[in-house]
Amino acid sequence: MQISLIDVQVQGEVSPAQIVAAIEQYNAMGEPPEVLVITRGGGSAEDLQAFSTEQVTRAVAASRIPTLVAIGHEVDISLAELAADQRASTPSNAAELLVPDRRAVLAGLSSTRKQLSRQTLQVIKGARVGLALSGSKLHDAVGHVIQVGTQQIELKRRILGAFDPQAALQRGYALVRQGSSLVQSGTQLKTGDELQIQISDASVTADVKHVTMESRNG
Amino acid sequence: MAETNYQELHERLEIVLDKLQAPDVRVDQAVGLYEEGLKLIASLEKQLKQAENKIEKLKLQSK
Repeated sequence: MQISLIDVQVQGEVSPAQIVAAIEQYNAMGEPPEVLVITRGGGSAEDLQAFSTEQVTRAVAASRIPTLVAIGHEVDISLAELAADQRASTPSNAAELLVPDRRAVLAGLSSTRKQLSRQTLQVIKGARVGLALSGSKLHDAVGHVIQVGTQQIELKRRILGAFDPQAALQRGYALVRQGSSLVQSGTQLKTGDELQIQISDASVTADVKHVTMESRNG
Repeated sequence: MAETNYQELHERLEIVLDKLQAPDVRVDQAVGLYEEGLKLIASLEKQLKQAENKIEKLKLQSK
């Protein structure tokens, strides 16, 4: 922080003109200060008179630079203070108003830091919930695939069951073989041939006594 | 796998889930995808734990 000072008389006849000149000098600068503090310590009501003159009050009001006016004691209020952008009760109070309070800044930083870690942890927590959800989706999805697969196999097993020759044998049908080949036509057979007949619970060996071909036309 | 960026792993997990939920997925594929998904989740969990630990550590350091 840079402080520039113009010393002026703060009471007496020349005082208002000096104060006005100082205010104008700062306002005329190419790079004016950020804030103009016009201040003096306490004194009697007459001592503070300069700060209630029309000249000084108007100069404060006209300042392009924001003004902070702090004159005398808490109880004394000059017109210049009323014209100022900000009034301070005493010069010490003016200094307090000018700079941010260290403790407030530190407290603010500490709270921001806490918020920062809290929010980041919140993000992680959210991600963890999402991950748990993905995990259960993963289990469900693979479980579903396996369930569908099982159902398909069960269905095929039943379809296959319908073609099981054993099931036909159970219903009273028989399989007739000559040697290793199935007998599907009487034309394969002649009297005296040996046949193996498979029924549901036994295998029978039999001889052919007679073959009568059946007409399938009717 | 831990070096891979969290976002990339997460995107891969989404793809694995999508594939696993597709109607035409085969059982052998599903088992492979499931295995990959579990590995991805483990990796992501590890990264989250590391991030959490790092934050706790930074919090202690900055006190």
